[in-house]
Amino acid sequence: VAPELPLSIFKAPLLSPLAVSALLFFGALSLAELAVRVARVPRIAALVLAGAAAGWVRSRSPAAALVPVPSVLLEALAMVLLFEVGQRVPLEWIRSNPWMLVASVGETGATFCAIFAVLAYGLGRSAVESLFVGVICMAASPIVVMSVTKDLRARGQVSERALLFSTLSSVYAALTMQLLITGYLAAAHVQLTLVLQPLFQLVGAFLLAAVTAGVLRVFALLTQARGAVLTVGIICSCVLLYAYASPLGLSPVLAALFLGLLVRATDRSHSLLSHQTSETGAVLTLAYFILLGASLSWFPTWRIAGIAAAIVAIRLLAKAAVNALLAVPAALRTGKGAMVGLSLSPLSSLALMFAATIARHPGLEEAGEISAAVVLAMAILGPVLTEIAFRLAQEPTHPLP
Amino acid sequence: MNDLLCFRASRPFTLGVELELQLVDRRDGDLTHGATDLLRIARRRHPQLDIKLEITESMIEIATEVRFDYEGILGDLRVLRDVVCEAAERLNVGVCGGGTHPFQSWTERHIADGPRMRRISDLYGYLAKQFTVFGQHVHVGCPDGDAAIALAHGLSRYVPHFIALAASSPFLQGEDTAFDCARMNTISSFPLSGRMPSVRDWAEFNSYFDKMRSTGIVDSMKDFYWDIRPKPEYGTVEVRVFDTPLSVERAAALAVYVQCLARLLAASPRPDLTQDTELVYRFNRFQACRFGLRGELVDPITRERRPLHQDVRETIATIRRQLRGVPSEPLQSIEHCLDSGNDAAWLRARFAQSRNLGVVVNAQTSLFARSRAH
Repeated sequence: VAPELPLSIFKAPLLSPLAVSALLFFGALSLAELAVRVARVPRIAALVLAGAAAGWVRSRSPAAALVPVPSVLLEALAMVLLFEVGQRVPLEWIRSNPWMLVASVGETGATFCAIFAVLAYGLGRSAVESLFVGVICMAASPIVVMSVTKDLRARGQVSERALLFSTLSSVYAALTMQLLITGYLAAAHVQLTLVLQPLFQLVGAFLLAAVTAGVLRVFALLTQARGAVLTVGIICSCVLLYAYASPLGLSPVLAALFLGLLVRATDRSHSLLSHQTSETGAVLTLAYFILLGASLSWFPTWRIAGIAAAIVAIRLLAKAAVNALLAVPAALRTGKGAMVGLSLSPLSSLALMFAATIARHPGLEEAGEISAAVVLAMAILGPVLTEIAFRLAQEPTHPLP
Repeated sequence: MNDLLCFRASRPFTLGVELELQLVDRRDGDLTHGATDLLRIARRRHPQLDIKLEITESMIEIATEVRFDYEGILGDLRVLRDVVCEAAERLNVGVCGGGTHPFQSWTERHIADGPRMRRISDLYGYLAKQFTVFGQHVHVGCPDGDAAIALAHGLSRYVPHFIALAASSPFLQGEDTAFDCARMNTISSFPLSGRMPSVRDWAEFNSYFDKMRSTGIVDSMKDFYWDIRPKPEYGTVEVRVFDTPLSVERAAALAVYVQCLARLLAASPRPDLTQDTELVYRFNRFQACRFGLRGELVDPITRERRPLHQDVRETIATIRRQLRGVPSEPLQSIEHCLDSGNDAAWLRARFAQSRNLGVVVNAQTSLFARSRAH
């Protein structure tokens, strides 16, 4: 009697969640690299687009739908990248050129006002909705700016200013958002905790970052770690920070930025500086942008898409105009100021987190949808515009692909 | 005779100094692009100062007025340094001395705009980008072309002194080169570098220049990258072998040292231009680049070998003995360099402490801004 063929292998669950995750990721990565090589799409935009395609497949295929989008992983990756932003952001610049702070406050404030005006007066949305959308969209993504800078090895005033301004705008947005949500929940009852909320956020996030920085320093001192070991230590510290920030009611974004700033300020020997982690950093960046793309929601209706388009246009205009206007006192040519504004167009996970947060509150669902639609547009278009701005300023040191 | 090579007479032994400076990122110490932005701020506030673009966006050049004494040169250099550092601070850019950047990648450099820069880039290809090295040029005034030729030949005997005292380029492309002055190796790649040909007077030099130009090898005097060359439009001899020192005080002291030697040579018989002179010139130059003040010199006449630092000390003693009115400060500064080591030694010591070239560049930037004696 002939032996029975092991047909059972064909009945095995070939489309397990793990396999689908790997396949989607692999497919997205291949698609992104093809877009970079063949169509010369800027790498960061290509990764987000490919991630978005994977997200679309997931939404259409029953097998792929088995895989939950790991938002925790996306946010933890964002923490590691924000830590690197904190290490890179030239905060001391404000001391030697106070006009940098004026320009930063000016461009973020003007962007908020422009978006609020368009929504509240132009499109007739409620003041509360306009307020929330304005705050979410006034920021720019320092992670995208840093990633495009690193990808092009850009060096110069436009890329340096873009990193500083995008970081500061994110800090303003995080603080204001915390204040608004607390105020919204308190339903207009002014309480002491509401007034002190931004201070609590700043001090709490700083203290948590200081403790984590101490842990990281001890780890580096004890192990004398370099390269991959050090990188894993940094990732663990960022994940710990992320794990403790939310339960303590603190902004993980601020805490991660503070951690980077503190490490930079105290690491005189540069032993913890991020260039040591660049290889692993590149892997994290790839994963982050694909996951970001997969987390984006497509426009729910054409009406929302139209509102988002109006916000995108006014946001770009406000950022470019105010940066151009304040460029000369801040020691830059007007034209380069406009390029700084253009390079501040990206939005990413921070804005996505805010959009998801407000969408959970009754009465703010549509504000969340509008914000998510703007994030979708600027997560894809933003890196392209940032790259265009850097190239116009002749700052990339990498040749064209 | 060609109009371009009319030698414009100048007051003998007047001095002018040019310094090529590095523009670096304050975060990681790598070279950054900022020359055009920095120049715009500096020129708007101080239009009278001589601050120029150089071949790439990562470097600028500052130049003093024509001066006769140490105080004048040092005063000009301090003003220029302060103006450049102030403008750089507003842009969050660091400024520092040093003959090479320790770890920059030459492939990342951008050639600055301008017809001459483009021509150099077209002609020399990658060499133009590798030319991101930083030197100090010292001009000494001469009454006529013949005196300039004589001075250029006379000073060539001291080229090893100049190289060793100013050496500040031990690191290149992230490595310790084992040379104190690696910058000169980069310049040696250019076809018209090294020693000026053995012409005897200005007429002979003009004839040489005409031949070179009629064959299309050069366009102007700027195409000669010699260690020492006459500069007829300024009426000077230009010494080009110095690495940019880490402080303007050292730069001023070196300029005065050249001036003293020019005065000594003016009172001495004309140098002998034999093949042996050329032979030892290259050997001595190599010794100074490779070993700095620990190198050895061969005398072309006596054929003796002696330590370079000893030769410098004896030269300083001769200056003190034979010249009047020489200020003590610059000569003491040079003796201090002989005792405690040149800038290359200082850079290596900083690297030994930190094992990080980014930290070394930060130290260079602080030193240039503070300019404390070291």
